[in-house]
Formats: sequence, C-alpha cells, structure tokens
Amino acid sequence: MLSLKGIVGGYANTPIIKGIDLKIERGEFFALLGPNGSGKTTLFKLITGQLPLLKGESIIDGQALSSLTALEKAKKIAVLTQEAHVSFDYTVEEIISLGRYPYQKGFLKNLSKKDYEVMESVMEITKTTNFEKKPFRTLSGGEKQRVLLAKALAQEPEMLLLDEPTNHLDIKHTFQMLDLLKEWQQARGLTIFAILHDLNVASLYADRVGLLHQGKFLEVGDINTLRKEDQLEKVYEVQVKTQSHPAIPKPQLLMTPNFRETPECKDFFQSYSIEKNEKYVHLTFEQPLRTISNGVIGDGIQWIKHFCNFHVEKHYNCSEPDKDIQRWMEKHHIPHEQSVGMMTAVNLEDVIVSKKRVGDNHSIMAVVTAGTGNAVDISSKVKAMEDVKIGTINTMVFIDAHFTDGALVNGIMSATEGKVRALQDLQIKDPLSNTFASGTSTDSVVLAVTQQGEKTPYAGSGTLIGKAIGEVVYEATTNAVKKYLKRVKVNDNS
Amino acid sequence: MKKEIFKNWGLGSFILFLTIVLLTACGTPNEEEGQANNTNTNENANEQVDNDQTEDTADQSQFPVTIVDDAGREVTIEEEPESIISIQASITEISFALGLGDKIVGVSDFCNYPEEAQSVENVGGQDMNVELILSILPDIVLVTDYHHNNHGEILSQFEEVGIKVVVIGSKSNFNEVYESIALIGQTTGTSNEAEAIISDMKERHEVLIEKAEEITDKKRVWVEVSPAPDIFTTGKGTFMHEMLESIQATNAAEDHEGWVMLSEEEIVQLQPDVIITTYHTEDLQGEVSSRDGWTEVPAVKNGQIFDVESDIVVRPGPRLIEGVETLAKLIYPEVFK
Amino acid sequence: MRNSSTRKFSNRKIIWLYVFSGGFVLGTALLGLLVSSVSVPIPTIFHIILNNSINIGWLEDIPANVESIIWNIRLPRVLLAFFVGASLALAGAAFQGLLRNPLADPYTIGVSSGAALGAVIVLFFQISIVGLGGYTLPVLSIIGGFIALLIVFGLVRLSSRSLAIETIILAGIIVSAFISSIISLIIALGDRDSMIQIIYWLYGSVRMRGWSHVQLLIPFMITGTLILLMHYRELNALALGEEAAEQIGVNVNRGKILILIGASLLTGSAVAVSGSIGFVGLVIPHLVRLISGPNHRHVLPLSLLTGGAFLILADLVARTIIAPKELPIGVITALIGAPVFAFLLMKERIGKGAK
Repeated sequence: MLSLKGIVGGYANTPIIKGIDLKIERGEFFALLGPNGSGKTTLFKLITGQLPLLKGESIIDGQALSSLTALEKAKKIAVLTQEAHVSFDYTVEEIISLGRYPYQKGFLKNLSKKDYEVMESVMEITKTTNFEKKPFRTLSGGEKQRVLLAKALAQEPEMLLLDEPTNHLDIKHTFQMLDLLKEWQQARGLTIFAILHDLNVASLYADRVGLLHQGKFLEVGDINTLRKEDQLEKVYEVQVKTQSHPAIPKPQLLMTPNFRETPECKDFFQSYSIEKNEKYVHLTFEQPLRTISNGVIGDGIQWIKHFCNFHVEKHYNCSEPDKDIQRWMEKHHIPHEQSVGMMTAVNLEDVIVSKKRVGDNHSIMAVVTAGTGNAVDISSKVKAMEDVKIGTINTMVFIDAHFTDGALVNGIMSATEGKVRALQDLQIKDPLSNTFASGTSTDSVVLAVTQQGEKTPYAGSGTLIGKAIGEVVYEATTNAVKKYLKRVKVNDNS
Repeated sequence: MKKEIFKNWGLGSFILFLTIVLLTACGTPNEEEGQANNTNTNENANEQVDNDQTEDTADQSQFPVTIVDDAGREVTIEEEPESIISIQASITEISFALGLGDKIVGVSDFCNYPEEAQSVENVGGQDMNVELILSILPDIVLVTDYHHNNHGEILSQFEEVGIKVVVIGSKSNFNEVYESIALIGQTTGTSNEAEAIISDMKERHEVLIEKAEEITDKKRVWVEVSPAPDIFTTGKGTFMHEMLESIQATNAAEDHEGWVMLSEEEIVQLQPDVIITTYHTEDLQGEVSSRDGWTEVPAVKNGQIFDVESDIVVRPGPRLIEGVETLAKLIYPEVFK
Repeated sequence: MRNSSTRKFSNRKIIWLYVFSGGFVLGTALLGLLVSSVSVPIPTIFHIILNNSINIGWLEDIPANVESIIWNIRLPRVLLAFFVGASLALAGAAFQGLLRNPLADPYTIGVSSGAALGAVIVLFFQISIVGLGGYTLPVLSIIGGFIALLIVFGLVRLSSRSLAIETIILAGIIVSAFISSIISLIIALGDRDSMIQIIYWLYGSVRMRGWSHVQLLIPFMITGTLILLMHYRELNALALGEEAAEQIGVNVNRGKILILIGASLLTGSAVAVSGSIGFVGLVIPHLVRLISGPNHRHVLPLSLLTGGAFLILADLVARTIIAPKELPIGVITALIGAPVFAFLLMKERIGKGAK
C-alpha cells in the first residue's frame, strides 16, 4: 500500500528523520511509537506531504506520493490529527461534507446523491447523526473528534493517517474511537497508520508497531516487539516491565517510577498485627506485600496488605465463596481489594505461627491452619470422592526479602515441598488409597514478600531462603496437623 | 455675517476655505511644473485677450461668438445666454458686476457677494449637484479648472444636453483677473461692461501706484490669513504680495512662495512695521500683542495692526481694487488719505 | 431519508434568503432611482431606462436634460453604488473566510489603504501607463492593494509562525497607518489642487462618477466575483485550517493566491472608483453569516447582493439627508456600520458566554 524508501527529512535542512524504510500492507493497522522528539510527527508530516522529503521517496500504490495532486492524494489518504479547531459556526453536517471535496464534480460542485449517502453512512458509524445540525463549536471533545473522523472517512480513503487521534479524549472515548477504527479496518480493509502515544493502547489495537528512536526505526515488528523491555527502556528512559494482558494475549507495559517511597525500616516481626478469633485470622501489614496465591480472593500475583483465613461450617455451601468472603470482610471493615482471603473448617484456635530468621537480612514467618480430613495422594489412581469432608491446609508464608516473579513461584514450590514432607513424616494417609497423602484436596497457599533488600532471583530448595521457607512451612504444618489430630482425638473420645 | 461664520467654524472650515480660495487664487505656486504651466496658459490667455479686444471693438455683443476658455477649449456660443450658473464665488462676483445678476440661476456654496447672490439656488461647489444643474438647464455653466480636471465626464454631459461649459481658470495676479473679466464678458455678451470694469480697476490702481512713488521709507508688512497657532501668510505669487509691492510696501514674507505657514519665531524675526490680518477677531490688538515675545515687534509696539476683509484681497474679482485701496490707506495713511 | 425533511427545510430557508436579498437590491435600486433632489415622474424614469437599455419606450418628447439626469447621472450612480458595495462585501466575506477571522475586511487588513495609495499616486503624479490609459487608476489601485496585502502577510510571517488572528489585524493596522502617513505626506508635498482632489477622493463617494466609472469597475468586478464564487468550497475547507484543507484535497496555495487576487481585484477597483468606504466589507458578511450560516456557498452571493443594496441605500441617505448638500457616503456607512458591528460583537460574546 505505502512504502517509504530511505526517507530523510525535517525542518530547515537539519534532518530529523534520518533514513527510514517501511512497507505498510493494505488493511493493516500500523502504530508509530516513540518518545517525544523521536521524530514521529515529522515522519507523519513527511508522509502527508506537509514537509518536503530531503531524500528518498514514498510510494503509494506504485506511484510516488509527491507526484500526486492534493486531490488525488485526498482520495487515497485521509488524515486525522489531534487538533480540532474549526472557525465559524459550521454545522457538523457541513464539516463532514468537506470530506466529499475530492469527489465533487461539475461547475457548481454541488453535493451529489452519492455524497449524501456516504455522509449518512459515516455519520451512522461514527454515531454523529443525532447532532448533524449542531454547530461543531458547541460539541464536546469526544464528539468533535468523532465528527472529524467522520469527515476523514467520508473521503472514502484507502488509508487513514492518524496523529495521536485520542490525545484529548478520555478512556471511554479513546476506546470507542479505536474500536470504531478497528471495525472499519476489518470491514473495509482500511489501512491505518497511527501515531499513538500510549504503548498499551497501541498494543491492544495495532497489528504492527514501529519504534522510532532519534529519527530511525529501532525495530519494526508485531506487537510482541513491546515485550523487549531493554529496548523500551533505552528509548523511553523509563523502567518498563512487560506483562501480558490478563484477558487477551497482548503485552501490556508497566512503568516503574524512579521515585519510590522508602518505608521505615522496621523489624519484620514488628511490622504487622494479627487478629485472631473463632471467626477469622487476620494479619495486617503496614506496607503491601508482593504476593502470589491461590486464595479465594486476591489470587495471582498482587500487592496485598491484608491476609485473612475465615472459618466456615463443615457443610458450607460453596457456590459463591468469593462473594461470601467479600461480604464478611466488609462486615469487619477489611478492604477486600487489598486482601487475600482463604477459608477453612478447621478450628482457628489451632492456628500455628512459626518464625525464623535467615542470615542477617531475611526473616520468614509461616501461619498455618491444617485439617487432614481430605488428605489426598496426588499420585493415587483412586478417584477423589465428590462429597469431601472438610479438612484443608491453609499456608501463609511471609518473607522479608526481595523476590522476582520467578522467585515467587520458587517460593511456592519450596513451601509446598515443606508441606508434603510434613504430611509424610506425620504419616498422613489418603483414606481412599491408603497411601501417603501429599496434601488435601483444597489446600490454599499464599507467599507474601516485602520486596526489601537485594533482589533474589531464586528461592528453590537450593538456596538459603528457599530452604528456610521449606523448613518453616514444615515446622508449622507439622505442629498444626498435630494440633488437629489431637483435637480430632479429643472430639472422638468425648 | 461673515464674521460670525468665521468665528463659528474654526480651523477645519478655515482649511476648507483656504483650499477653496487657493484654488482660485494661487494656482500651483509651490510646484515648478505647475508654474511653468501657468505661465504658458498666461501667455496664451494674453494673446487671446488681445485678439478678443480687437474683435470686441469691431463688433461687440455679436453672437454667435467663439471663445477659447482657460482650459484651451473652443466654445461657440450661438446666442446671448439668458441663464447662467456660476460655480465659483469670484465668477459670481464678476458676473454680478457685469450686470448679469438677473441671469444667474445657480451659484456655489461659497458665493456670498453680492447680497443677491445668496438668494440664488445653490448647486454645490467642488462637487456639483449635477442633477440639479441638469434640471435647471441653464444656457451656460461657468466652472473652474478643478471641475474641468476632475469631472470632465460630467461637463460633457452638460454639453450633450445643450449647456455651454466655459472653464475659468485660477488666477494669481491682476492681469489674469482682467482676462477673466474680459472672458466672462465676451461669453455673456457684456464685453463693454467688462471693458469698463477693467479700465476702472486699472485707473484706480494707477492712481495708487503714482501716489506711492513719493514713498521713500518702505514699510514691512506682515500678512496673516489665519489666526494663531497656525499662522499662514501670503508669499510671492499672491494678490496680497502684488498689492503690497504696487503701493511700495514690503511683503515681510517675500522670501516665500504662495500661502505658507511660518513659526512665530520666524515672524518675530521679520520685525514687521504693520500687521494685516484677514480673519476677524473681536480684540485683534489684544490677541496679537498678547502673543509671547511679540511685544518688541514694531507693529505691535506702535499698534499698527489692522484687519481687512479677506474676500477683497484674495478673491480674484472686481473688488480686488478695493482691497488695494484699503491696504494703502491702512499702511500709509499719511500718503493715501 | 430521515433527514431529507430537514434538508428541505434549510433549502427553503436559503431560497427565501436569496429572494429577500434580491428584493432588497431591487427595492433599494428603485428607491435610488426615484428619490432625489430633482423629482422626475416615475413613468418617465422607467421609460428612459427601458428606452435606453432595451429600446422599449412609449413616451415622446422626453427633454434631453431629464433623460441625462436619469440615464447619465442617476442610473450609473445607483449601479456604481451597487457594484462598489457588492465588491467590498464580497471581498470582505472572502477575507474573513480565508483568514478565518470575522474581523478581517479590506480595511482592517490594509488592502484598502494600499489601494488608496495606488490611486493617490496616480492622481498626484498624473500617471498614465501606456496601454492602460483610463485603467491606470484601477490597475494601480489593485496592485497597491495587493502589495499592501503582501506586506501585511510578510509582517505576520516574520513576527509569528502561525497566521494568528490578532497578528494579522495588528499588522493590517500598522501597514494602514504607515500608508496613511505616506498619503498625508503626498498631500502635504502636493499643491492645493491635488490636495483637494485627493481629500475629496479619500472621503469616498459614488457621485459624479458616470458611466465611465461603471465601465471601469465592471471587468474587475466580474473577474473578482467569478474567482471568489468559484472558490467557495476552498473557503469552507479553510475553516479547518490550511493543513487540514490540504488533506481533504484542496490545493491550498493556489486557492489562497486566487482568493487573495480575487478579493484584491474587487477591493482595488472599488476603492479606485469610489475612494475609501469603510465597514461594508466588515459588517455585511458578518450579518449574512449570522442569518445564513457560515457556508460560503451562500455567504458569498448573499454578501454580494446585500452589500450592493446596502450601499445604494447608504448613498441614498447620503444625498438626501441634508439635501441639496451631500454627505460623504463613507460617513453614512460608518455611522450605520460601526454600531451594528459593535452590537454583533457583543451578541457573539454574550452568546459564547452563555454556551
């Protein structure tokens, strides 16, 4: 569709764009990315022809762009910029009709029936029909941008050039607008070339991106280019962390500010409060901790301040456990958005807290409630029964250390290994297969790390910290199970 | 009446007045080119007058008559005109002096003399009320060279409907005024009257000139045609200058050309013996002598400050001779009693 | 289909606007022909006009002077007033559209002053360019106007990158003031004759002009009008800004130059035949836009009609209000135009505030 060959250009003979080759395929959505001053707008203007090329050529459909008249160009390319200034009180309809300029024929250049049809269809799509008679000046920013988009689409372009079209729009209008463009792209094979400010928005909508740095492309590729954190950090000079969007397989970038609040350096074991009663165990930390968990709420990798373990009846109806936990938390004024919540039927009096210091810098604490009524051997061939008795091991591990995401997973492994080992040593058996149990059917675990001190990339059993995790969990689980067994015995005897 | 007009109008109207007067009086004294033209036309006019005069004595008030007006146009007047429009105060004065008062059917905004002229219909000035003139349909329209230069198309429309147009040019000396009078007389069949007026004027002027010969101690005369602070005076090439010269007075502004504005410093330095003003002020002596630094000027010291009516010293009509006589009596009262 | 009814409605409104402004022109033209210090019977007037233009006459023995009054004096005067008013209003509308600025008009951006200087130079030096003859004055007027415009734009370019509204008006005022002082200088240097001629000319008037001036104006007027009317879409597109206009296919540079040439032709020739007549180019397009909306397709022709009619009316007032004397027409247009414009400005400000 459009190919740029060795383009050099800029203002007053000092080239800002220093040689760019790019091929844009028909029907694709190409996003031009780059920090301020990288030359995005200059490149844009070189393509629209607002600035002259110093070297190279841009070719559209086999023709040099510079050889086309403004009129011919307007039939192929429409442009939408962030500016929305219109003089005089033109109505929306009149503005949109300007998009038909390249198609008007005859001496009087009246709008033809076809023109009106096109205008109506673009107004419909951009949802501007209901204010077509209103003066453009009286519209809101989002409405204005939609009208200008309608004007651009009325040109029936093969290609749409956008210069930060959503700059002045709020989130709702940004997504509305881009959804609309995407729809048009897919329905009509429209080619879109857009400067986008927001890398995450670009990742969500673009098919390909080009990363511009000091007038040259650092890389052109699909959106996974955005996963290259080092490259982005170099270009934008900001600490970037790439993650996947939780719902769709696209990268999303998280930027880390250089500015950081430095919390008071308190002893780890003094930095939390614990509340224990027969309904729940609730630990509150002064600072949020980096957590990985499979709690009923607060699952995944998060930053969490509150850690709760609720007591439920043996025959608790677990159709909506997350809602129930949220309700309970509300009742006790615990902010559930910042909490990990677990449930257990175990008597909460039997909660075990084990602490351990590792070296000079690290401390570990495990909070465990255990019941082994549903003990399961993960390797057993016997099918788990549908109707399970209550009995679960909820493990909370709090660590004063700085873990990478990988270390968090390591930590979970270490904790699990500790738990399994404890069950083995206590000779807990799967009641169905009568083999040694590796856990219970509904175990929960949370690993929470303060992220203070040196970064630790590994927390497996081969490391000091990993080993310590295993040890603490082993100790706490052993004690908790023992307490549980004792209570069961007492109950049985009585 | 005129006094009041002056008092009320102020500077703006003065400038307008000035321009009107200048248009008729001075021609183009500031510009060399203009002057050259002037002298040319003067020569032509002189020849014509000579020719005309010989014709006149032969068969006067004979129509048709063909004249050459001040724009050099040949105009043939078939029969004695019965109705005349004059678009210039001086022309109106001459016409009335020629006894044409009954025939004048239209005058300009500025025609204030004689009294009867003011009751005649007003047909505009610089810009004529063309429709009105066309509807009056006079036999002759006497216009100035301003009209000839700027509204040629209109003048030809007059001629199209049978109105004869005669251009009377601007004048800056007595001889030219005589020519004007002769030309108007010829045009209107009043050459005899014109001749009479001209000889009367010439004779009266001659008397003055003769009397003035006994003057040995020439007085320096300072002329003001506009009041302070913008004091305009009459330099060379003005009637005033010519008049003063002819009665053996020295025009204090003789080093300047035409109507010029001088600063008070320059004026005081000229040390005039007599001050002549042409604008009317209630307390003229007081006004002039109260000017800063003027007390040592001889004219002020001796109370030699006089006012004359401007129309008789600047308007190129028959009353110019009255102007000279008035000046003579004011400046040399002992000689011209 | 849904909005075909509304479109019909607005079409009908526009048609009525044309009918009204056409009627305004005819009405004022008739008034201009009928009302004067010299009264001529109405049938005679019609007879003279029809007889002279299309050779239909039914009256005999019309005196030559009456015929001349109507045909040579009154009719060309009314026509000239119409053409001058139409030219100025149309040029004003074009300048306003081009500069995206409702304050622009031939006077505020200096074109009129430039044209006046061109004319004054011709009057003062009695220039007659070989081959142009009688057209020397309008041609130099137009060139003067165009040069003034270039200087204004040059100043704006030098002082700010964008064609900011305030800068253009400011530059226009500066250039106008400068040119006025040059004119004053010429007047001061000149002799009394040319001074009077120039001052009277600067007052602005359509009287004592005759057919020759009408003929002088017509070729420029037609050319300028055609150029501008053919560029109504470009003027509309320019409301988006020059870059955006280029992007919808407008050849902005060509359009701009042609529009400037057209507007300068109109202004220059109007100033050449009638001197300085202000406010027509400012107020009329503004008023028209208020009623018809900003679409130049209608603003231009409606400004032309209304401006012409307005000047006929202003001339009528000028020559009748203190008859038999006449007021300069520029005085009348300013007396009517300035308060109207002040009112429009306030209304716009208030309207904006309310939104």
